[in-house]
Amino acid sequence: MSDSIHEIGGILMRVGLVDVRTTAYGPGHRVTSTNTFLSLSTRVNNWRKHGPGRAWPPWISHSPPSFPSPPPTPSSQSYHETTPRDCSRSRRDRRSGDLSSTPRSPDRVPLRVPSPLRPPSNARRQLLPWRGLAARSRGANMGIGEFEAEGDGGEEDEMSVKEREVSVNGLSMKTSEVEAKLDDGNIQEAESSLREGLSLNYEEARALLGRLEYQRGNIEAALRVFDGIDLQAAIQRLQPSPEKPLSRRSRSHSVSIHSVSQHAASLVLEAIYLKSMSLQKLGKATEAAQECRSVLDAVEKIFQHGIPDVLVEQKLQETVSKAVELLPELWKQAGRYQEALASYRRALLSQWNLDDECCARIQKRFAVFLLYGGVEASPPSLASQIDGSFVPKNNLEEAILLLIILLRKWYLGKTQWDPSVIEHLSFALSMCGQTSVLARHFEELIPGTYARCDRWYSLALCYSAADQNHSALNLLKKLLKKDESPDYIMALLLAAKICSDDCLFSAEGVEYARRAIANAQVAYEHLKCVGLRFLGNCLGKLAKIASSDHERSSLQSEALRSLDEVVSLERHNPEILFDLALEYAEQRNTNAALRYAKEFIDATGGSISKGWKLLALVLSAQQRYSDAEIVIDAALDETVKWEQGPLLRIKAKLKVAQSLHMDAVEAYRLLLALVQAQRKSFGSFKNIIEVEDENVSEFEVWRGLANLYSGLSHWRDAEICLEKSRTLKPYSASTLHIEGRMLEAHGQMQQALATYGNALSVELDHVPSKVSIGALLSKRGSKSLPVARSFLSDALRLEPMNRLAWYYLGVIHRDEGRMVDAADCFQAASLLDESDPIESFSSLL
Amino acid sequence: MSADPVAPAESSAFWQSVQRAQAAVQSLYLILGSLPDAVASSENPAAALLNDEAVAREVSIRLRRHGSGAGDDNLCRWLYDTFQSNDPDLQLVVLTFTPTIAGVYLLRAISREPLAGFEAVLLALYAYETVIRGGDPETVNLPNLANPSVYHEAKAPPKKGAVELDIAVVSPALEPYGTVRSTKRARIVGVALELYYSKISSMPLSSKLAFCEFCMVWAGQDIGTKAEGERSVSGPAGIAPAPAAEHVEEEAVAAAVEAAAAGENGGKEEVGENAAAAENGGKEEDEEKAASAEADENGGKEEVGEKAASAEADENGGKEEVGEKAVAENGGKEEGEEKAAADETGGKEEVGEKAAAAENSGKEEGEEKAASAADENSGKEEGEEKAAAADENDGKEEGGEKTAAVGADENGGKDEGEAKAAATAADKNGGKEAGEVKAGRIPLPWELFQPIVRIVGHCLLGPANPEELKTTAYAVVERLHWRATHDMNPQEILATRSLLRLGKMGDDTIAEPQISTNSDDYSEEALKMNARLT
Repeated sequence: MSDSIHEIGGILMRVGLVDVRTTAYGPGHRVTSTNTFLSLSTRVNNWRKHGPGRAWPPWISHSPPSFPSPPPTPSSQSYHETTPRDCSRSRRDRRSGDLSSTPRSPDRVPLRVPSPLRPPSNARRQLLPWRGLAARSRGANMGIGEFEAEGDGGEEDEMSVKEREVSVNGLSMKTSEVEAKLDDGNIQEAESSLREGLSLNYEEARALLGRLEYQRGNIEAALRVFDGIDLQAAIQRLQPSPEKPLSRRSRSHSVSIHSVSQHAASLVLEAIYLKSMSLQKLGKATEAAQECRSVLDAVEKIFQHGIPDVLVEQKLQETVSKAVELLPELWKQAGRYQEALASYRRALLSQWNLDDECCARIQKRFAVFLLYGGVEASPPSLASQIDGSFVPKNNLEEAILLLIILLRKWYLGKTQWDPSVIEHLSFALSMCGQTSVLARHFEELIPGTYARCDRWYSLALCYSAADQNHSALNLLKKLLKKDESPDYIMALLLAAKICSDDCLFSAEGVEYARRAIANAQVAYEHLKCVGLRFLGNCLGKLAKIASSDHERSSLQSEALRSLDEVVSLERHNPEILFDLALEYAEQRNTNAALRYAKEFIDATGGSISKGWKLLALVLSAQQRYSDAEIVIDAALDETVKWEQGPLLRIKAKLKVAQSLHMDAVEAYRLLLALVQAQRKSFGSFKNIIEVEDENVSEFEVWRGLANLYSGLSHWRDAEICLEKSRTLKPYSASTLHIEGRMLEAHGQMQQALATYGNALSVELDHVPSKVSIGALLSKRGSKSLPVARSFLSDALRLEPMNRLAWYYLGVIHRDEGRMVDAADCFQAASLLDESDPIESFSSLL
Repeated sequence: MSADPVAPAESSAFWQSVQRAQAAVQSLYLILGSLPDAVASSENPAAALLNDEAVAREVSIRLRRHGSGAGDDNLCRWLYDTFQSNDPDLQLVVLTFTPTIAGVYLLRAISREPLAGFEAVLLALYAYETVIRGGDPETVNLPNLANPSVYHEAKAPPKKGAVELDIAVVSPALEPYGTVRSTKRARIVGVALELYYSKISSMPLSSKLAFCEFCMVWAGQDIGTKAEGERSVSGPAGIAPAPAAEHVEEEAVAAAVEAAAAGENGGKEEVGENAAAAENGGKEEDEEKAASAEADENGGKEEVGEKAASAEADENGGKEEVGEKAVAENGGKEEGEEKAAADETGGKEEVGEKAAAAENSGKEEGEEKAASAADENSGKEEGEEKAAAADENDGKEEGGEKTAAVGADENGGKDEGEAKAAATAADKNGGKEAGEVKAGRIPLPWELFQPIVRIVGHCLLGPANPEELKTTAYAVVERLHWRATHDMNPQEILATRSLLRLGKMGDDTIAEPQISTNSDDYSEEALKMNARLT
């Protein structure tokens, strides 16, 4: 039974007769409105689940079964061209409508209402002859246009392929006849023949004619035809009567009103839409936009409460959707950006009942427009806001919001994947430096969107830009494994770069850089320099932790070799100059370092302050303190107040080194004032921003002062400064170290030793404390010499350039009678003493 | 603003602004010496100034001229005063030149020339933006979909208030500055560019194109990678011989093909860079690039010993080609390979310059460069209008006047009404601008990179941009991406990579909307449905 019902449904649909059901059964089969509603909602539900990318279920546009059909009237009009698409679409529409009531779909079963509409199976044959009548009555009923179809099912299809007709209520005209008249340039005649032949009114005839012309590609002719249409008059007629469909009871009535106006509206609005398109094709974007806007205005007038969700004819909806989508584009073409903005918002914030894809397209275009349009949009109006909802305040916010929404729609399966969305989002987020947020979005992407390695690389970029280098490196390690893509050159370079920041990873970094260089020679010649540069940096870092002298020197020379090679390849990259200068400085080749540091400053015009600092430190390593001071003064000139901290610190240290203690105190005082002013003036908010800037902390200042005073044996002052720094940072190895030195100076050796020990337990690798312990123990007599030596060797392992450690080691060797060793150590100490910068070079990184 | 009749109160304000604009036009006239009638007698002088290409060209030529931007530069003073007039339309006129000012300034600042004029203008822009923002940073509240918004509904409305939003800083707070300190230079220029970006929809095409040109130079030379297809901007004009004879400026010595002429200006000073590029070129693809390689080789040789270091490679690559290529025309010479044409048109700055460099060298050294000498002469005899060539010479000799000459010749071109004039000018600008450059590559910290990328993003993906701009912008994005990978700066890589990919995707302009009956797919779908169900 169910099968036969189904079959009938199918046949009905094929013939385009589904809504004839009413007619066929006549008033005798009236359905209560409740019933109708129920079955409607069932269908709606189903449609929502299965629905194609269509605004709404097409069955809705047909008159409700409860509406009795009046007898056919020849005066009522309906029109459509008989083209295969039209008919097949309408067939499908009906099909999908009927689908919901076929017993095959299980999820609908509980809701299914036994439909009195369905004719018994034996009615099928009888139905067919009624078709003509049905079409006419429908026309009378709601002004809907139907095409004339011959025969049934498949035949009909082929027939209409052959011949296009304009048909109304059984009256039909061959389009070729009309077209012939149009070709003669005689619009009036064509129009009147349409009006006579098909009994249309003026506007409708024009609309039909215009569409014919448009389809034939006669844009200008179409425009002439369309020009005759008076939209305002048409709207007047189409506006709904004031009564409103409030109760369910009145619903059926209001629905019919809507249907009546809709079908007429559909034609006229489409005509105006096509007019707009014609204008656009003729390059008159502004006029086109105005016409297009008038379509939307008209729709808003006709449906004063937004387009109802279930009550619109599909064709009308199609026109509306297209017009909504087209309008902002037209404004953009016309260069009227504010109007474009407004129309985008109008499209997205009003109830147009757009389908997901269409809405997504508009949202994306809007986001793109906001991101790149260069037009500042005022925030959306307050009218459309709910409490607690997020209101974008500027273009970026709005664009990001839209893009995130688009991504979410895609996750939910509502739209197709559009690769440009994530690209726009990554542009927007990297513009505001929020790459960690971007990383989250990359992570959320459904697997399969990107190749695994590409995603890892993107993630690594995001994390690395957000200073989460470890996460980035972990991802890159995965990526660069043998069975993933070990030759991904950009990943190799990024990995090498991250590794070059940290001694612990430098060995890996060397490997990555070498692989990158090997790959670069194949395809990416220009990336070779990058690889070489990171290779040099990693080798330099590796040299620092090398266990043997021999190893260290070979690493260092290799580092220099690769950096030199880069310089010869890329003279104009200042960064290379800096790297090279630093590497030379680390190796205490101060002359070469000086040369490159100068070159760096020249190449950058002194705009990068680390260049100044490096130059000053190199000079200080050459014991040219006054020159260094001149450099620092020049740098201070080029630096704004807030960023002078590090320079002032260097200056203070330079003064100390020159034994200009009063000047040093003065410099520290300035520094302190600056630091405190910074703390006061920067609110909590700004502080977050400035955090990345390398600012001198107050703690550092007090520690420096304590150091200075204790060097001068001003114990009271030193004690005060220590106290201050302790309150800022209770557990600090360097504070403890100064404290130990003071105790030592007071002769309290035991306490001093204990304090140094504490410092070491705070910071295991605190080199100054190790050296001090070694020194202290070395004075205690021969028994403690081996212990002292081990402390000093340990310190030297960590910091091979520590001159004090070499000195005390020499002392120990001497005391133990190994004169040659002692001499070596003293020589090292004295050499280092002559090339010791006032601050470690690595403080620059 | 428009000349519509307005209400009395407004009209007085309107007339005031017209008067201000007229005063500005008048003083500009005094500086430039001549103004097109369209501007001089316009009812709406500010708008006319904004959109007049001839004035824009003239001003930017003067801005690029050697020695411009000093404290006593009248033009800079005019720009400063005009901006300070606080008339929005006049301010737009000044902003039009931001790319040129910033471009020339950043390139020269490194060599510590006195640039007080430029700095004054840039500081004025900076101060203006500082006042507008009230010293606050520009921030963005990152939307969180847990909160409902105007465009979507949250699944479960938050219990109370909104979920905390992340705040991102797009542009940090601004401190007022009275002078340009070198460590703040990038920031000040960056802020000026941010201001430019905020008005970019009002900017004329030429201004955006100028910006793109400077970006290419800032980013630095692309070594090893191609220069192919980068510039289709002024393509055809590049190889077309100069059409009309024109009176030659005072110092004008020779004439040549425009491309070459423009290039000369460029190549002369930019040798180092070219050399670097060419060197790779030479190495990699000797034959293909021979033409340009040869050019640089000459350039390197001619220019400066110290810069030539990297030029050896191409010397080898290029030299043997030279002899055969004794064509009477630079263009021809260059084109020894069919590719050269493309190159020349494409890499307006690069290739053009190189060719020019070759020519220069020939001139100066009288070496084996028979080819270039030949064309020079030929150019001379023909007395072609190529004043550009003139300025090149003169620029070479004095380092000064070349821009004036170019200007003259540009005007010449305009008078002739040659269709090519515009392209010619563009070409020249390209070459010239590069010509100003010593070492093109400048440090691009994020504070500068960010506004640059935003502007380029607009040029690439903004609404209703002409194809020319898009092509140029795409080339710029490629270059910036190259630079970002070279610096291995992840944030910059992400931003430029996105733009690059988006540029490749092409735009999604509105699809040609179909009329409803035009959907075959429907019928097929329907048929399928039918088939399945019955």
